[in-house]
Amino acid sequence: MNKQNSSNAQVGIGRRQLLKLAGASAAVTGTSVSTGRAFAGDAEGPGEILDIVIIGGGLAGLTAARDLKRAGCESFMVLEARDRVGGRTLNHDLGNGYFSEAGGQWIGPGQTAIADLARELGVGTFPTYYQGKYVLLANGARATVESDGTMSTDPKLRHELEEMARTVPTAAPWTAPRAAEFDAMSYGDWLASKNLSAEEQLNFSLPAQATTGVPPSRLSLLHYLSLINSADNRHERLEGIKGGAQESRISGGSQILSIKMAEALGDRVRLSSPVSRIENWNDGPVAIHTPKGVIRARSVIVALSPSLCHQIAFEPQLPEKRREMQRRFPAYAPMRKTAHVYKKAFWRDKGLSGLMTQLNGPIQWAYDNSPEDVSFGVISAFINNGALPSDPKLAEAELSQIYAQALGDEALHPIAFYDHDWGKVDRWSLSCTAPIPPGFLTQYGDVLKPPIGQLIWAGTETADIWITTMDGAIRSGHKAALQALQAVATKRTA
Amino acid sequence: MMNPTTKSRSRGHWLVKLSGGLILAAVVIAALVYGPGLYNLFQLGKQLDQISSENARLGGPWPRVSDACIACHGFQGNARAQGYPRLAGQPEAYLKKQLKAFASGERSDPAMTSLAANLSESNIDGLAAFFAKMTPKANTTFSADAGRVARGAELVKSKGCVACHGQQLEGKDLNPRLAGQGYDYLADQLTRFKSGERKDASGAMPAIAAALSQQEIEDVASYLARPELAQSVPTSTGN
Repeated sequence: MNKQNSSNAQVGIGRRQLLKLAGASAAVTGTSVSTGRAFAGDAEGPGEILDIVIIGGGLAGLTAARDLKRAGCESFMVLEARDRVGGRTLNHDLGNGYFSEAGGQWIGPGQTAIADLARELGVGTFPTYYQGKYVLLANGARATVESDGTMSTDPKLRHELEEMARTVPTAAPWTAPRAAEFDAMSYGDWLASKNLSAEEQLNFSLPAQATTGVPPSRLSLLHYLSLINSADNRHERLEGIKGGAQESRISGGSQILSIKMAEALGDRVRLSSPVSRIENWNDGPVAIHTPKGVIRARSVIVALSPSLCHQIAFEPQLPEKRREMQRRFPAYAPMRKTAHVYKKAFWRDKGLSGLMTQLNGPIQWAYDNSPEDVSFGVISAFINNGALPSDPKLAEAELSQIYAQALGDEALHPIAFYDHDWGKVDRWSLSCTAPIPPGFLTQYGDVLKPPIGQLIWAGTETADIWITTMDGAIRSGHKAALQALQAVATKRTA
Repeated sequence: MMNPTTKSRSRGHWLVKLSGGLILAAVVIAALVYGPGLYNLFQLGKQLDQISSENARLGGPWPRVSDACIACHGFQGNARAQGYPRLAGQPEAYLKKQLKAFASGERSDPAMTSLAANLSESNIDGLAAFFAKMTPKANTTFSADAGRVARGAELVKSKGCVACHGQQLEGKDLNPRLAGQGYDYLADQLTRFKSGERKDASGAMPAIAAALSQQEIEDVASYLARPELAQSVPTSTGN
């Protein structure tokens, strides 16, 4: 990764584990021939046991599945609740092979796991568009400012944040020397101690809110520092476009990564198979209950956010601390994203970037999300879920009016509109990212990752770096696959 | 991700605090000397300051815990999407009780459970007091079907909703304000009471909801959510 992150306590999988893996995959391969295909049908025979079941067909789960297959494991299955893969990535199909994203969509420097995956899958990337002026709207006033895609926050304060971030490893923030102090306050408390102007409050608040889903008042300083730590200890690398985690987009839309992985996995991915109950997770074989039947496995990768884990009944109950962690894990940043499609990206001709912020209104942040070849224009926006009418016609018209004020009257006539409120559409994501509140990590952080019984936890929340991002999800999937292969190999040699 | 008021330093001193008559003078000077670009920026800065001081007046100094509620519950608790409950003008006791119920697990919702479980007692008190004193606005983003409203009005009357929820459904004590509440939220909660998923200590709501058909639930919700009702109803707070 990067030098700064080498200080992380639990980065990646060590060389010893990799060596063990070589043995593990050999062992798994050796035994899988007899059990692998027996589970291809919908009716799993009684007594038949898979080596590994993965719950969750998002980036984490599918990466793990892909790794298992590449390691020669034949005896596994992915269970996905929805009738689609991709989890918190979702493409709006704009027609003719074009997409814009309703969920996670950007990648940036240092996010090498997703960059590698994209390359391996033959998926390209292209730069996020930010050239031109940024539009600010507040109570009817409109102003434009020059923007070069980087941050404009006070460099002295940024430096202070970065120095603190160096001591907070993303993999285990609760082990930081000043963990108790940083976790006792919100990022907002820390900013407030700096006597910021209203403008500076906004400059620091809005990026943090866009990244985490809540304003700084409910964001643990410790958590936010751990995010900066992933970004090479550079605030700008976390929050900026140019040189930051929003620098690049994925050709074909971010969901394409999951779609391609699932295609290669074929019928090993079972859609519309929500898991309601997990039994005998301690001793195994684990019984996994879905509406389509019970599946048994030696080892289970739970590639879900802790909030989604909380929706599953475990028998016996999970240890109390793990249970309470799942119950408290923040699921209140559902995010609502819209896309206005226009015949042309007309704002670019006017020297506008399409980036805009509105104060006291439905739009948190809007941006140019046009396809790579700009064959048409797209303005996407992060919306305050409840501050825009739910009726799609009203929502579209209201946003069109705002865009017209910001970008010109051409904005009044979109050719298509998409609206996705993750908090309302179904219960299989619940929250975009997890805005960890003060006090949480020092109390519950240490139960986030350790496997329990035959259960291995994955999902971006469990990554060692770049948690909350697509890159983190992929990293967690790689790690979980190794853990599962190792667990199965150990059982076989025992 | 990216911040909006980009390049503040290069913008010079546009947010230099001015007061009284100086503001007008400065606006004129800015327009003359710097042209419309900076003038607009100055206007925007004024709005920003105005928003900032108004927020402080209503909710206390920045950073406010209540700012975390805006995304779903709208500004000052007046959500405009029908699925997120409107908190403005809800009785303080009701809000406090619900937050505590979410935290304890007595009432369940993935977002609210995790949010409330991480709040301190004083956070809960502060949020309840804040939203109780906000003025409920008319639910203008809901358009009601006249037939449904008429049927809903009859049901609200025959079920005696006003006995607990106030003569004008403005809410009182532990019972929520219903006037002008979001349609989808109302229908969803009645459905949850009906199925037993949501409980209330008195048992009144489950009993009432159980006797309603899905059609009647939608009728009642239509009547309660309509903007005309909210407009005619004074807030329950401040007395």
